[in-house]
Amino acid sequence: MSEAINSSKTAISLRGIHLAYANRAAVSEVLGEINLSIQEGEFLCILGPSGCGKTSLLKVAAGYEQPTRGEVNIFERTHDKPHHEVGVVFQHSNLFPWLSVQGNVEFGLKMLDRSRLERKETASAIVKQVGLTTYSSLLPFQLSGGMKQRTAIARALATDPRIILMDEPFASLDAITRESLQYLIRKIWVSSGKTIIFITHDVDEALLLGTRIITMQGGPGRIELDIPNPLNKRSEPFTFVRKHPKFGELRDSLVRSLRHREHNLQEAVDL
Amino acid sequence: MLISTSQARSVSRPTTVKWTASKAYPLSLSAIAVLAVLIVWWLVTSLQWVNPLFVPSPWKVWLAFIQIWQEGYKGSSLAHHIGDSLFRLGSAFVLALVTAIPLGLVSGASRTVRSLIDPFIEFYRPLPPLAYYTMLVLWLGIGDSSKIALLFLAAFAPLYIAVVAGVKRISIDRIHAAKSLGSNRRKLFVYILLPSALPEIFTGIRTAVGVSYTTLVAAEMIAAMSGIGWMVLDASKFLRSDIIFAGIIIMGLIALLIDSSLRWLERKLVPWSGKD
Repeated sequence: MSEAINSSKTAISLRGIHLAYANRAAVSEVLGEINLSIQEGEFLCILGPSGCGKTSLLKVAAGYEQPTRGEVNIFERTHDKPHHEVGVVFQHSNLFPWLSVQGNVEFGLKMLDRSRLERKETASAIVKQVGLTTYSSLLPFQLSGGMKQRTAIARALATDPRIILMDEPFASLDAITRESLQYLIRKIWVSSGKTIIFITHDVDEALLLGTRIITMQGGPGRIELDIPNPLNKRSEPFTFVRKHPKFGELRDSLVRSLRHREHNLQEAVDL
Repeated sequence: MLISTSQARSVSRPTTVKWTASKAYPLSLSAIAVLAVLIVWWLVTSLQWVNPLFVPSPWKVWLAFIQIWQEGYKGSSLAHHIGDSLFRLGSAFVLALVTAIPLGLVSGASRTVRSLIDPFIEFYRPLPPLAYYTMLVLWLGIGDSSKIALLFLAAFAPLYIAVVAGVKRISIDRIHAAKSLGSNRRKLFVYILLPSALPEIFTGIRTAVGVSYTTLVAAEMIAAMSGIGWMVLDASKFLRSDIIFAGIIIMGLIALLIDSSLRWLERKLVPWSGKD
């Protein structure tokens, strides 16, 4: 569970969140009554089938969407619009195509009116941290998928946010690239102690990275299961999780919780 | 035996690049086409199939060109005529750039502003410039200002429309990302909306240059004493078809030059265009 590093301050709290979209024909409820409180330093993974509202939940947490009801607090302050304390990494790197790797990473610092020298030094250090120093002058269209996501992570880190939200950041990468990025994000989390909320549909990924795992179900989106991940220890190396004897058991229980809706379909396949 | 020849063939094949796939292929085809038209032109005139008043020979056009190059036309040198036209075009164009881009950015971002401006743009854009040119001359006089105003109006609409389209195309995720990185509304315009719309702005610039260039002759029809458009119109009064031809060719070459330098600039400034 939570470890000594945490001062057990609440980093982000979502209270009574409802989200509904209304058009002339009908009101569609996307999120129904979400209550969630995340401690500083936690690595929360949100698992759920597509369309369960997990991205909507992230958008509410980022301040992009206003909940129909309920309240978001970041370190006990109301959070209703995007803020540089809350960094976001998107599924598609979403880099600024006219800026180089270095330029993308410097962007946030420029928005915060930091001096040219500070921008350059801070960004270079972060670009180095994600291993892109030799590619720092390339434009996004010249980068591979993995390099783009590395840049996106570096860009989010540059303004030193206390919370980082990640929306399936590795979903479109190949297995090898994904693993090296999982390693990178874990290293960053261990060394920085940042609070991370990480959306994924990959159960293994959630078990590898999360200290706490939530599963969601849709129609309207709600939290199904909320468990600490006993396998993930900050002090242990990355490979520890997969070798743990309880890995399979935990994995099964998570898959079961996600299966509800896919149940019938799965049965057919299992035949 | 059979196997060895087929192997030899498969080895030798990649070394010869298909001619039609090479870069020189379209260029040389274009050159041949232009040359063919020149030869037909020369044939038609040298065999006297048409009245030389209607179609002067290439040689006569060349002589006319040399004449206006050396002696100028009606008291002004050729450079002076071209310079006057380019000055009118350039001023109108700079004016359009500094108005249409900021206004387009604001309109693209705000539905309110767009609703206020759009009806006027939509109304005047399809109007033939000559329809309101008389009024511009009455208001601004017969000097350069009425001509610049006409060219400005021609350039403004396509540029404005392109900028608005460019801003509307920006994904909400990009705006969100910028806001999460600490961007405020003002910075969003300068650091996100403007660079994001650059590819469309360039398309708009090229359209705007084209439209205002076609308006140039109209602008120099009334009360002008100089300009390459005026030169062609004036020559037509005296049925100097050789000068008309020379003037048209000069105008065409200048347009080509402007457009290719814009395309060069576009490649330099927006290398990511179409790749994001």
